Amino acid sequence: MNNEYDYLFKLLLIGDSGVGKSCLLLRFADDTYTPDYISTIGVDFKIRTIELDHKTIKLQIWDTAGQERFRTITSSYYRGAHGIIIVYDVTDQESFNNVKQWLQEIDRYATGGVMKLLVGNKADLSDKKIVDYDAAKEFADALDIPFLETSALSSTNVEQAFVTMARQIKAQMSSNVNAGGANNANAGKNNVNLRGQSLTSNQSNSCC
Amino acid sequence: MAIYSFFIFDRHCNCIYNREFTHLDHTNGTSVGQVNRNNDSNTSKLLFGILYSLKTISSKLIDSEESESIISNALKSFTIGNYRIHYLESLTRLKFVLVSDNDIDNLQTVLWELYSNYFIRNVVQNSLSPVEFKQSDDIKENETSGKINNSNFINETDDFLQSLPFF
Amino acid sequence: MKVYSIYILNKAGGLIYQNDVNAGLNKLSANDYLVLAGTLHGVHAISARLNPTINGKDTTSEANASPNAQILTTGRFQDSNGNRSGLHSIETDLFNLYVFQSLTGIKFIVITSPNPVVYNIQTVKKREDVIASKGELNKSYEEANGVFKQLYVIYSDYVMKDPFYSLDMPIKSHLFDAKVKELIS
Repeated sequence: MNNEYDYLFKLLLIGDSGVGKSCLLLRFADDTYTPDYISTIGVDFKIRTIELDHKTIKLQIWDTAGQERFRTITSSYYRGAHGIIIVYDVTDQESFNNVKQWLQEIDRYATGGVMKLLVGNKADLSDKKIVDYDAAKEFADALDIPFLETSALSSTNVEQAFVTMARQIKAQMSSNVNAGGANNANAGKNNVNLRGQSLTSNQSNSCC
Repeated sequence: MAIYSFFIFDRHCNCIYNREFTHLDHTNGTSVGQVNRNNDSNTSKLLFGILYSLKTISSKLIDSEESESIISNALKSFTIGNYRIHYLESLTRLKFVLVSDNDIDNLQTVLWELYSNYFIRNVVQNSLSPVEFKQSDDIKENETSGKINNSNFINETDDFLQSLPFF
Repeated sequence: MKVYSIYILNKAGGLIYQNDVNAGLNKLSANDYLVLAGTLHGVHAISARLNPTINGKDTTSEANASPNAQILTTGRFQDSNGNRSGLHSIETDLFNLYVFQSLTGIKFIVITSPNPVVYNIQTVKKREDVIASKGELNKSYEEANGVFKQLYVIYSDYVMKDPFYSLDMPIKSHLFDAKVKELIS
């Protein structure tokens, strides 16, 4: 029985193949053991357990394959995701240009109001760097998406970003629930239930 | 009842044989189809992906009763929609796959026969047949040796499968 | 048929309930179960994609049309199992696994003891024995479908109507646990 965790959040990792999506989280995940699923069914799983406000939260990160042949299948992995992380390679202009396409995919397949995060990977290769930090930052700001640069060497800020994301998702769930339960007549933004969460439950904490 | 296709995957995940049967004319019992057309298609690759994942799940969820034995719990078949996919893996990790409709429960004997009789005789014991089939990326333009093109094997397995009452 | 385990997956493929009702399967870690559930979700998605192409004929349109037509004409969905084209079942030497799906995308996975072995693969030479067991697997699927239907009712009553439950999150209701135990025994 699921007594080990109170919340389960689904985070999706997308981006072109070769941008180093998988390396990004090697140290973040609970265990380093990874089965080689990604080349066969287009997705791999990394799980991190965190504690927030005395609640155990499992972050299940779906690391998707960037290859074209999985494109139609990865679309079915967007369903029900709480957060989506788009990764590009700072030494590869093409991968940054494709971020726009990935954002379109998100609009098409993911639930509205899903949390997004833009990550520029391989920032340690400063001599080969092509995508400028300021350009990317401006792009992200225009779309109102948090942005950071990272590398496998210094992945601490990614971990930080993930924990922040988890906190926001949890807060969003609580606010959705309160707005729905307390004052339905209020035309507040939260009343539009885009995230498919129950409006009837009047408490965010699952019973335990 | 019908058998739709027959696949063999080698231990490097390559589809080395692919036979598709088209059931056109049921009156005179002739069947046509394709040989080795879709070895590198997405269908073959995705089919392999499913096999691999389900195989892992099968062995992970349960331990064999004889804990001494190295043979773990084997996947026999699975059903998707209107099809049932039958699976047998040899000790050399060659994967034999038959796709049928879901009225046929069990083709383990047929798969075993395809392997132990037809494959062993026509491919393994055939000195002209390579031990390892080349990976599709290494094949030069005019080479097709990444697949089983042995006509004896193709004809004999065709005859065998078509002789089955539920073909 | 002995039920070993019951899993419930939310529409995103996350494991929200896992109960080993009868001993028989290995105990895995919570993370392993999550990976297992995600993998089954992925395989189910690929199966649905593969289904029309594996035979070269397109059959998805009719498969999808039938439940829709049913709803349009009768205003009701008769069969609670909406799993048409995805992964239905897995048969292995030591267990069978069945996948059912509600219209809202919740997956119920039932793992049971395997079908009794009627013959040994290497000793029996007669092909007729293969046909002798025809249709048994479809019968087992129907049997498991019965378990699923009751499970779905319990889920609707004790999870969906629970005011403290937030959708898509782990099910931690003792009442639901008790009802599941009741159903299986």
